Formats: sequence, structure tokens, C-alpha cells
Amino acid sequence: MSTTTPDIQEINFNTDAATRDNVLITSLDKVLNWTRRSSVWPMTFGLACCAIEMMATGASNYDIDRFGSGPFRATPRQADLMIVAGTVSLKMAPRVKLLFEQMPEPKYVIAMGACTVSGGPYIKYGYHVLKGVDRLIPVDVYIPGCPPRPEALLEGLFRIQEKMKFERILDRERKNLKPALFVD
Amino acid sequence: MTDAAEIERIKDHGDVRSEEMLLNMGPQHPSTHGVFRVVIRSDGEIILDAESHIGYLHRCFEKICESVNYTKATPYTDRLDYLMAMGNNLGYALAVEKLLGVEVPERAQYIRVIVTELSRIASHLLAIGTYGMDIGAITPFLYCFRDREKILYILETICGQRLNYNYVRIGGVAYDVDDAMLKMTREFCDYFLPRVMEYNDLLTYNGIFLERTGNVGVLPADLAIAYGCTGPVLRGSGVKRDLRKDAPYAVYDRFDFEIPVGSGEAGTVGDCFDRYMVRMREMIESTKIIQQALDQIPEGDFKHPKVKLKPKVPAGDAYTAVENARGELGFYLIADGSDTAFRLKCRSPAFSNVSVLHEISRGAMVADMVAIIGSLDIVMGEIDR
Amino acid sequence: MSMTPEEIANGLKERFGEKILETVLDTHDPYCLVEPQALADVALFCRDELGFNYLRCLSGVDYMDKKKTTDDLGVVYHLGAIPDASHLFCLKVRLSRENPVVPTVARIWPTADWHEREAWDLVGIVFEGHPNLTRILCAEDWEGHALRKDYTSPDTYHGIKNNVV
Repeated sequence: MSTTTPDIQEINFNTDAATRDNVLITSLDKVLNWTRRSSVWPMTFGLACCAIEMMATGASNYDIDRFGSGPFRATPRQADLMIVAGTVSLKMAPRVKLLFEQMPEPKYVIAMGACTVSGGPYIKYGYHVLKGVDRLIPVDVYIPGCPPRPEALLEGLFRIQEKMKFERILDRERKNLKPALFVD
Repeated sequence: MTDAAEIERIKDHGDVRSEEMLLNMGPQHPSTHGVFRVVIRSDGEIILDAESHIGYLHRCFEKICESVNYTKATPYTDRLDYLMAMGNNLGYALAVEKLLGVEVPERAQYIRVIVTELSRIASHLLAIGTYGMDIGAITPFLYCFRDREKILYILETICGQRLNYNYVRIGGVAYDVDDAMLKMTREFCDYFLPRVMEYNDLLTYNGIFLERTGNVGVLPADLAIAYGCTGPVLRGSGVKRDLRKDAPYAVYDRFDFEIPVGSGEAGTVGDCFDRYMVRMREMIESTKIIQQALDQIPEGDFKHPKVKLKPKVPAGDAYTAVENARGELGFYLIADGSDTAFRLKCRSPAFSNVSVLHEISRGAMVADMVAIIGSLDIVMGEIDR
Repeated sequence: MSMTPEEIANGLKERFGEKILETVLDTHDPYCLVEPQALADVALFCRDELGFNYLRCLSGVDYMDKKKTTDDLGVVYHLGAIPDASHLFCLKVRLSRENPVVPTVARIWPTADWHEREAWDLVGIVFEGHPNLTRILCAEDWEGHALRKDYTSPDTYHGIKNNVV
């Protein structure tokens, strides 16, 4: 994109009716971000109690499909959004990191529930519980609650979509993939 | 199920060379209902052996119970079997009350029965809905969640939470129920009974469903007992055992209800269909229990007046078991006279139920593995604790 | 078929003599304290002669209290029968902390397989003759036994900080 913006004056929009009605001028970022945030594919990644609320969000009463985020994918390679729903134990932690790395860029992470935010009720005596998934992978949106209501998860999705609006497509180094607390 | 000789015959079919293959399923797999991992050793499509790996959701429940006082440990019991949290609360409360030696007021007992049975219906609805989804039918899932939301709404009105209630406390329940909730529950029962017929039309007698579940994953009764299976898994094998009837707790001895057992409608006794069908029939029985409890519920206290917020439990040990949605949920509590448990061991039903997996999946097809795991109805929260 | 706890305890004492170290009947769960090395025989007798076809629960316990009057470990076996729910009994063994070894009952009740692995994982009791005594709940390379009273949780696991900052 090294060339300058095309001179709008050079295009004559009044040549014929078909062009006049069907051409819309916008930036590439906006179009791609619009398509991306209108079909967010989350990954089916239920770990614990929050997964049940995630299922409820996808089911009849709350119906996440209404907001352009229907198809829960079973494989990370087809997903844009990872909803970490439930307690991450230390035995599971390497797998969570692997799954995150398998997702294609750009990728987003929602930490759903108190356990993934900070360890939640297990923070003090849970010797085998990861105290917050942000020690492992970068998180975009935190949803507190134990478990959060489906409305809260929907709100979290809206925040992700809001974030997607301002994505720069060619800016590949969007994220620092190394979380702050991960030593090594 | 195929026995060893049959496997040998299949492996030995003429000139076709076959090799054994290791197939890893989980911990991130949509049909394992959580973070359950099973390593399958297969020959083509035939499962020769399956090795289960658990512990990906080990949340240190027993250590926490030794560290915080009795009342503070109640919310952690919710998170064991998060599909039937009321039943866990009840089991834990009964275990502590047994050592405390208190008798809970009648009204509290009835409230406990009502909320536990509502919770059981919600749990079975989820089990049936996701089982349909595992087999390939998406629609029953949406129907089941529609009705499950109604139960969650009722439970939300009495304690403010949708999933982890912390409602049944030591010495009673947290809050009294009002007439509006009782009326709502009664309306729900009337609404729900015809819905079971709807699920049967949708899923149960569907030809594909019968093919996928009948004669698959047959669990003989003696094997089920040896592996300590309880609940619908054991009853699906034709054994009539239900702690609500055999060793009644709360006020279950005052109600008239049946214990459904598997009868081999779709093939052999103890196959996946029988386990599924037991859950379906149990929902009707639970509805009956709720209706009777609503008729009989007396006025009075909703908690024991003498039980303190931080009870000091006299030294001793006792094992208390309740019938949860998945089977016998037991708490072995050792108290040392302080306000904190000395040791609390949770005997979780799904832990024993899933340990039989390698026996019943041997000889089945790889695709049947999903059907078998789904019919055991595992909840990782209480398997790994 | 249902027997009273006295009958069960007498039956055990008659068969095993001084291997039954102690009998307590006036408690919630009547139990016999069994010598560890005789446990497998006692369990087999319970299953075949006394009709306990179902192992309800197997708990590993660390009995070390705050005053350190004892540092024993122990295993508690809750026996039951299906379908006779009133046929109950309990066996206990006490083991030394230095050498906590008890024969396995995984071949008598297959359900004990996983319960014993759990007791090994969390309390550190060695079940002699167990077919596959490996960690079941904690990760394979976990150190220590979490339910011991003197356990301290590690600060890091594979480079992941585990303590509360």
C-alpha cells in the first residue's frame, strides 16, 4: 500500500446508473473488520461450570447467533475467538497454550469467569489451579462472575466486536504474544 | 459388545494386513463434556482398548475443605457436580449434620427435596440434550435448554444464582421460599410432563438414534457393581438401586415414586439406550415427587435455630451418601472438634462410572465411543474434584 | 441376608483372630481396624463370605494433627452391598509415615483401581500389587502428595508462576 490514495476526482460516478447505485467507497480496513466482526467463530472450549453457561448462551433462550457469532468450532484452526470457560488447572495449562498457538491470526481471547480471570475461589488453597489464564496467554476481555450470566458473555462478545472495529489489517505485530507474567 | 475371540476373528480376515493405531481423544474434544482424555488403541474401526486420563480439572476440593471452615466449604461443593449443585449442597449438609446431630425442620426438608428434584430434572435435561447432539441431533438440545432455562429461573428467584446456588446450608436452607415460587414450580410441573412426550417424539424413537444407541456399550449388571457404578448407569443395567428408596434421607420416604430400570427395549439390557431411557423416565418421577412435596409442604422454620454460622463439629467420622443425578454421592467426613474439617473425602459417582469405560468400549466402533461417553453422562468437575 | 455389625465383626474375628486389631461398633460407621498385611485376605473374605459385593468408598487419610500426637497415615474402606443397602461395614488400616504400604484390593473390587491411584496421588499411600500405580489427578510430574498435612504447594510449575502475586 505504498501508493497514495487514488484520486477520487478521476472516477466519474455519473457514467451509468449501475455504477452509481452499487459503488461504495470505504477503506479496506473497515470492510475487512466489518466482515470479521459480523462472523466471529468461537472455539468450543468448555472446561468447567462456565462451559454450561456458554452452552446456554448458544442455546435457545440467549441465542448468540443473533449477534453474528454462531458456529462453535471444535478445532482451533477454524476459530477466531477462544472463550476460556472454566478453571484452568496446571495439568491443562500446556494444552491451553498449545491450542492458542494453533489458532490463526488475528485471534482473540475472552477469559470467562472468576477462575480464568484470577483463579477465583481457588486462588488461596488451589495448589493445582492456574491463577488467571493471563499468566499463559494474552487476554482481550475479562468477564467476572462465577459463572457469569449468558448476558455477561454476550456483552463480552460485543466488546470483542468493538475491538475488532479498530483492527489494522497489515499491522501483523498487533500483539505481544509473550504475556507479562510468563517467565522462561 | 465383541469378545476377545471375535476381535481375533476380525483381525484375522484373510490377506488384508492390519495395524494397530493409537488415537488420542481429548482433552479438548467436543464430545467429552469437559476435559476428559481417552487414548484409544484401535484396529481399523474396532476399539481394542481404551485408556482414560483424568485430572485436567483437578481443583483441590479436598484440600480446600481442610483449610476453610464448614460454612465456607459449601460453595465449593457446588462446583463439584455443577449440573446438580443442589444435590451436592444437600449431601455435604447432611454429612455435617450427621456429626452435629441436628434434625432439620420439616419445612426445610421439603424445600430441600423440591430444589434437589428440580435440579435433577435440569441435569437430566442437559444430559439428554447434549447426548442428542453427540449422536448428531442438534434440535433436541435447543428444546431441552428451553425447558432447562425455566428451572434455572425458578432457582434463581430463590437464591439469585443460575448454576452454583449455595442454597442448601448446614442446618437448613439459606432463605425461605415464598408462595410465588411454589406456584411457579407447580405451573412448571404441569407444563413439563407433556414436554417429555415431545422429547420422545423428537429423539427417543427416532430410527437413527435407536441404531446408534441400541446394543452399543452394553454394561452387564455384575460388572457395573464390581466397578462401583451407581445411578442411571447401574439402573440402566437392570439393577433396582436408588438411595432415595433404599436408604431414605430428607423426607423421601413420604413420597410415592417408581425407580425406572433398563429393560433392553432397543436390544440388550444395559446398553446406551437403556441408560438414556432411565434418565428420561426419572424426569417424570422427579416431577411426581415435586408435585407431592408441593402438596405436603408445611409451614415452619426454614433452618435449625441452634446451628451457628461457624459450627464446631464434635470429633468423629461418618460416611453420608445421597442419590445425585449421576449416582451415589458420598462424603466421608472426619471432624476433630474444631470449626474446620479434618478430612473430607468426596466419593463422586461419575468417577466410578467412568472407570468402567475401557471395559464397555472394547470391541465397539470408534464412532460409538462418543455414544458411550455421552451415555455415562460424565461431569469433569466431580471426577477430578 | 442383612447382618448386624456385631455379627460381621464376630465373623471377622473368628476367621482372622489377632489380625483384627480393634473393633468399634458404637459409632456412625462401625469398623474393624485390620493389620495392613492381612487386608487383602480380609477384603476377599468380606466379598465372598459376607456378601459385600460393592466398595462404596476408599479414602486415604493423613492422621497427623496439629499437636503432632500421631503422624500415621491410614486407609478407610466403606463396604456395601447392592441391592441390599442396609448391609454396611467399614475397614480401616493404619500405616506408618515412613513406609505406608498396604496390599491392593483392585483385583477384589475393580472400582478400587482408580480410588487407590487417587490415594497414592494425594496422600502417598503405596498399594502393593496394584496393576498401574501412577498419578491420576495431578500432573504426571507433580511433586509431593497434596493431602498430606505437611504439604506446601510449589511456587512454579513448568515456569508458570503458581503463587499469588
